[in-house]
Amino acid sequence: MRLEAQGITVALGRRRVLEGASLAAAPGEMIAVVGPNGAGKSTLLRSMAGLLKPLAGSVALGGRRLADWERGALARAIAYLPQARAVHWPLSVECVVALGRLPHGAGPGSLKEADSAAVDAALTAMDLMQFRQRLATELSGGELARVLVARALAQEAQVLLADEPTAGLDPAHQLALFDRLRRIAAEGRSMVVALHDLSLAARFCNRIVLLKDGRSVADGPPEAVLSSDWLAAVYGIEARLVRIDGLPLVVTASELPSSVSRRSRTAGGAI
Amino acid sequence: MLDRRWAVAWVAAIAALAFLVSLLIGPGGFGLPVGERAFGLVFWEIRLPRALLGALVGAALAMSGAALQGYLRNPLAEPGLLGVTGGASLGAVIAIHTGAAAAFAAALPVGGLAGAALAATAVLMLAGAHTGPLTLILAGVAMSSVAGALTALAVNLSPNPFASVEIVFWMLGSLSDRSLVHVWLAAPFIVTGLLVLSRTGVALDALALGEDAALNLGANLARVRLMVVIGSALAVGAATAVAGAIGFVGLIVPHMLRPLVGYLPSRLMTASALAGAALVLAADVTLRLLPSAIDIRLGVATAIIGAPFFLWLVLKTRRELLP
Repeated sequence: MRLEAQGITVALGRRRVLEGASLAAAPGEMIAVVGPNGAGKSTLLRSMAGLLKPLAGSVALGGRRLADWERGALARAIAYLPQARAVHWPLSVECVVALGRLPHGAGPGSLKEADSAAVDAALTAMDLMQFRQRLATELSGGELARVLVARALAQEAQVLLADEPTAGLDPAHQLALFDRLRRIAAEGRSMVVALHDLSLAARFCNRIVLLKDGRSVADGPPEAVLSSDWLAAVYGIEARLVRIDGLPLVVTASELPSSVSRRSRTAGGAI
Repeated sequence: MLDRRWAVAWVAAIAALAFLVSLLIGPGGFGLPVGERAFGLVFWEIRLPRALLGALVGAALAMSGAALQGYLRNPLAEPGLLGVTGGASLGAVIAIHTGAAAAFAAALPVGGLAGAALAATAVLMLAGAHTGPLTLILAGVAMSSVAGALTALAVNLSPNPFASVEIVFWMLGSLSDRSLVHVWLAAPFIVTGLLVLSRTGVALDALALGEDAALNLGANLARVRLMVVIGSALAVGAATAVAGAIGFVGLIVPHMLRPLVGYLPSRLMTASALAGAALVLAADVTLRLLPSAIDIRLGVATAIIGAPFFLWLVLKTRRELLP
């Protein structure tokens, strides 16, 4: 099913964070949402998950507006991984991942065969089988991040929206996670990932959506969107996309002079 | 997982045992009184209402505590936080103060119920439509302060010293001298409240991962909040209306159970209801066994058990926070 945000305007409190942003994710696509801090990446993902109601524009899944979806059906169709990594009680890793089965009418302690299989698959995918009895609250930040991705995978939704899933992950697990997400997308699901690592985005995603000040200013394949012109216009940096051993890499040279005055609003790119 | 389910069964067995013991023990000694009339009188008029109320009140306080801790994701939350306990106390105190309670016995619990209902409505209106827990806590604290101030005013202005003593003693909480009328008054509200709370379990489990994740897992947070507040208000309001303010049960019972049944709110709530009943019944039976010259109120007993537990909790939390 196709998840499509069309020209959405979203306000948080009094501030308009999105001003007519658009993003469409078709099955099989892996899309990166990039942009400076405060550009509206998280807000776009939260709106597409149905957590925020747009003031204008609409978000539709399979041609039906999210508001018209029944809660449970929406929870089985879209998995959303928040940026804030919260586990409020000392629950076991297995238990946290099993919470992903709640939309399917199961939960920790009441898993049927299909649910257990989904939990095991998610734990295996995130390389967590040996952690399953550990308490999620006693894991390192990166380990916890993988547990929460596993929770979202266990939901077995058609669409996965992940907000900076790789923040705090070591390079090996970053690669493993993106490789895994790309394979899931290739099975016919949609992946939308907000992230800051432009090189990772260029390498694993087949489309990149560039956000600036609440607008989606560019949308296309990595080579087109991560051009020096766009990077200068959006991030205020001098940078370019190069290839080393066939792998894409965004090299940032320096901050452009014109951007110094608004440095607080723009972030340096990634290497 | 299996042993944790057994833990719930064990707690249920202990609660059943405490209920039986409560029926069998009294100032008349162990066992049921012989002689058909004495038996009927003591059993139906004294022991059964007392045991039923003990079980209901304990279950109401502990399950509300577990639900609120789950909803607020704060292990220090307790039912009094909602302002409903204060509202019920104020209602009952007004009934004593105005002399209505002396005129007919049911006026006191009815006043308590009315106070709890008003307090819960006010808290829900104050907290507004926002789904976050912060406004709810603020509204609850504000309501508690208002109710506390007015209760103090009632004691201050009480028409005679007997009324003020009665108010103070009532507020200490007790199950003595309650009849089946009290049971009939409180039971429908408490049972309804517990049923409402038991339906929030799945959403409270999902909330363990934060509000956004819970919404994504299909939880209706606005509805859950309404159900937690209304369920707690019904259960705790009715419990306070018939038994007075009995503190610490809602706070400590979930803590005592977490090592046994785990931290998942849904499982903790059921176990808490059973363990709360067992704790209040046990405390009440213990007080009944004291010599009659030592009249310690139930709320005082739970506070004497609860306060050191709270201190231990502070030390434990401090230890866990240290690197």
